[in-house]
Amino acid sequence: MGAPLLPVQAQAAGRITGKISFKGVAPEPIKIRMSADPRCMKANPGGAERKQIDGTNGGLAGVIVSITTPVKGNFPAKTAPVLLDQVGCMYTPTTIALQVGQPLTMRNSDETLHNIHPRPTVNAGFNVGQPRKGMETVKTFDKPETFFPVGCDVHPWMRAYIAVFAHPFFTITKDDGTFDLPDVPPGEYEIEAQHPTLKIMTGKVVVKAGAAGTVDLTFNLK
Amino acid sequence: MSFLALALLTGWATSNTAQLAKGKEVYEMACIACHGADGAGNPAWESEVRPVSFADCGTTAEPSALWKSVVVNGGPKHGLSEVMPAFGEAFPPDELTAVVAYLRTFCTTADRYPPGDLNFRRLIATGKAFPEAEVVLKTKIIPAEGETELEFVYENRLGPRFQYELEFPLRPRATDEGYGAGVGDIVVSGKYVLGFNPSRLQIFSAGLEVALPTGNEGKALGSGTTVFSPYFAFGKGIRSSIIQGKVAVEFPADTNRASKNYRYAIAYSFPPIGSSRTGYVPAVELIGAYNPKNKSHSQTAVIGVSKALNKLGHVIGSIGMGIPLRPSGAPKPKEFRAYLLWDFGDGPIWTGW
Repeated sequence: MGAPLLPVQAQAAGRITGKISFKGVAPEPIKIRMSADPRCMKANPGGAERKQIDGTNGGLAGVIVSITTPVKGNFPAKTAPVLLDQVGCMYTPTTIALQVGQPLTMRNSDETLHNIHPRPTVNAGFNVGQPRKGMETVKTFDKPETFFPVGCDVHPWMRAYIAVFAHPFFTITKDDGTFDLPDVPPGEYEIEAQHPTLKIMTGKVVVKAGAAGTVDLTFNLK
Repeated sequence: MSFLALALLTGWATSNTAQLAKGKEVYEMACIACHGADGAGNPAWESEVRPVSFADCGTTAEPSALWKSVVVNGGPKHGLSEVMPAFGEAFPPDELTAVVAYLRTFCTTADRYPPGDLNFRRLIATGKAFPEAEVVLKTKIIPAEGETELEFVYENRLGPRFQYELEFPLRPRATDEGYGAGVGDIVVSGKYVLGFNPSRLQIFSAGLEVALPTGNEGKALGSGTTVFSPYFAFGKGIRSSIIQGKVAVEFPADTNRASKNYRYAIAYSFPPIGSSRTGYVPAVELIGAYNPKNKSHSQTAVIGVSKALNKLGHVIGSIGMGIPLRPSGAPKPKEFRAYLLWDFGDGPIWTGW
């Protein structure tokens, strides 16, 4: 498998597009009991639930698609922060992907106490209390690490997942399972599709300058 | 200031109503969800973690600086639960101070307890004025005489100001001079805090030690008679330095077997090197005894350092050296002294690492 010999900046980039789907019956969403916090109940008058498998039209949302083939070059951390919001005592989004050194902004949009408590095994963990609506905390991670959970100890049903990459070649699927990973140097790549509760799937794709290489993968649910 | 005036100085926990009102506001915003409205834990909180009960007045023995650090930095920094978040970014310093002050009031009789800010670091030889809940293992070794002494000390609190104590001295092996091994005179004692002043960082206590003649007199393990020793102890903070002292008079029940003695100890602890909770605390002590009957005066300088061995700071070790100064002309063998203590009032020995 040929990794590009030139750094990305020196080459005309292509992109990787595709769709991540699932086959089978998605498990029923988990009903959430928020009675411990009246403010959370008030924010969810119709009740709340957490979907283990989410998506529309057979597509699987919240899947991180990333290149695993080494790409030559230096890739400074993206400077645009990724937002992990807490709205109605739920995380939005529930899957976060960011680059080593890229800021992660964690915001409390609720009028109740939350604490942001990631539990990485490679990176340094932290646990920050956010008692005020609108409070934001910005942190970075300094090592690559895929899929560690972040939770709120006050509201144990809150759960999101974070993946940290050494390079910028990753993206997250939309609600319909489609994805678009731009600025990929030409070459032949192996990619991974990772979902927090499913086994990793891999695929191969060829990217040509100025063109899109396509890869579609399907998770089989049992 | 008289002891009586000190004793009447109350309200350290409840007097600043404006601060407590702010602290209550912060508590209800940031703490109540887990710690509950009564400070004893919110039963509706869905967690396997059971937070410490602030209503337990034993918590008054912890310094406010530790409480505040836990609030600012979170539990793990002090070996406490990882689910305790850091609130240092959420509130300005005055509000963090206020919430700590408010936490103190869950013990409804907190004003009667000396606050933990007066719980100064134990020294190798000089006694404390603060009532403790500790187990201490002490040793003194005099290599030149082949002497090794061990002492097991158990201290516990009763109520806001009283502490009882048991001391078990032991010589594990015979000395080079032929003194036998065995248990020495067991000491039973009680101590009461006469007064304290948190703003002036001072505390005064009085107590009575009763040394029972359990040690074999022939093996130089005991005096052969009961000895009553009333004493007075004090502690005084001067910024980050501490002065502690203790004076006692020994009254033997049988003056044919033992004689009256005056004992004293004065100590100066330097500011911690490193963290205030877990840094090294150097100290110098001067301990002495004067026998008015034969006018003999012994005196030893002790130079030592202590350090908390875990993050919570409730397991502490200390080592030091004693240098005899008096009596002049007598041999002055160097002593090595050490202690290891566990403040069981703070929790099991395996927590906080």
